[in-house]
Amino acid sequence: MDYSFDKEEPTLRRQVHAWVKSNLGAGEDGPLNLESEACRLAKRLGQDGLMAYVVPGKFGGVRETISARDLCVIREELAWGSALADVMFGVQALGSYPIALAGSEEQQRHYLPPLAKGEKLAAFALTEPNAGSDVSAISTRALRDTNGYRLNGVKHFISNAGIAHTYVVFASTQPETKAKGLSAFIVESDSAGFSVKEKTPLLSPHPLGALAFDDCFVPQHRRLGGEGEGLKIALHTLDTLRCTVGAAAVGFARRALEEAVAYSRNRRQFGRALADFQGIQFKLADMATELEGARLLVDQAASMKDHHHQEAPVKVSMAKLFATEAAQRIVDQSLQIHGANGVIAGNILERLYRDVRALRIYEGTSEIQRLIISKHLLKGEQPDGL
Amino acid sequence: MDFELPAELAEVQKLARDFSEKEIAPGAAKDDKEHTFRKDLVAKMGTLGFFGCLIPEQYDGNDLGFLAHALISEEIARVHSPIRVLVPRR
Repeated sequence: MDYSFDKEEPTLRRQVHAWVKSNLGAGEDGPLNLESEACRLAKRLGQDGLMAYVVPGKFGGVRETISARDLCVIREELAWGSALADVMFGVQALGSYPIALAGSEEQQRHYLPPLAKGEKLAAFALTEPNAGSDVSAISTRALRDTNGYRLNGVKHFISNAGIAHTYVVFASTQPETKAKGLSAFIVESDSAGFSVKEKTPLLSPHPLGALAFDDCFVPQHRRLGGEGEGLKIALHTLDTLRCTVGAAAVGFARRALEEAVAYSRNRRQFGRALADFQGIQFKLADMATELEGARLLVDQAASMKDHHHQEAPVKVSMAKLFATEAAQRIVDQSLQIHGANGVIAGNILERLYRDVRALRIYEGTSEIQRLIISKHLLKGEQPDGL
Repeated sequence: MDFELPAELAEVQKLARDFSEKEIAPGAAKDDKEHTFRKDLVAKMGTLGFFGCLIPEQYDGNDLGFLAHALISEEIARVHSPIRVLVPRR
């Protein structure tokens, strides 16, 4: 057992941290135009070689296979600096992974290199108005047509809606078998019958919206994997990228702790620094301890994922659950230490407080993680005496 | 970063688990009820090296380190805490 970092990891961490310092500035004011700022960041992430980590080496990636640990290091460092930069990276990974996972050689060769360079943006379209955690309720339909499929339905809460070029869309080819009848398709943004129905403003803004498919034709060669393999592709993708959500939470939490330490040293009340009060010291100690626990769980989960350990899925759920919940508490405590200054619009804590919240919901809510964990605990033989 | 236990420590963990389940657990409830202490367990644990993880080999310890020490403590605590207390701390 060795908890020291890989040789390459500190180099990557330093590289991303330097990128954050030179590309994000103070970052405390919201961008004037969300979509253009999102595209600018994605383009820079591509040009500077970071997007390349979301695809395998053969198609322009850095490592031979995609490494969850690399993605975690990158997301933590980006989230430390900017939620938007983190989301642009995270969504590119989410939209590319199904193609890297299930795409044919031809599909991979066509779609992955421009995604690795950040020249094109990807999106992952699974969620629907009536199908959130319950994926089996998906009602977008893919009907067979000459040389392909016709898609009809609506997707919402789709990150990168409106700015992505390559959408991985999950639709039912066999509704009577529910989740088992799902298939995955690559839909290009200029396809006839495809439109962005609505753009949805968020608590922590990033480009997100609803998509409509009106008899949208998808040629046979853009089906991803076999018919009926959609659920497997979606769940495998979410399972792999779940620990990276935990890593983003660690990034927000680390920033919140650093800000709290700095503020409590400088801010003086009752004739002394806040840091001289034991009540503040205890808060800082609890925050640091929770952060360390979150970081270890995320590191362990990502490492197990990369080694295809059979218990990786449950560890990944634990990492996502604990890291996102802990980050919420850490950010909240940091804001409390900042007092009223922390709720001023544009203050770093005001921003972190908004940024951290959705992580407990997207890519599997905390409650869904708990179900995965308890299912794992309760399966198998009943222990004696229970 | 590697989160797997090295083979040597996985063996220590298994040894401690087997000993805890076979030797300590069966008498645990009786110890609690009748306020008894099984001195013979101490000798057995000593022979197995449970007390020597933090002691250098030149003083007859095994110097396996804190992780081995923690693994042994965890396995014993799982079945009977009064015996776990015997595993010394430096």
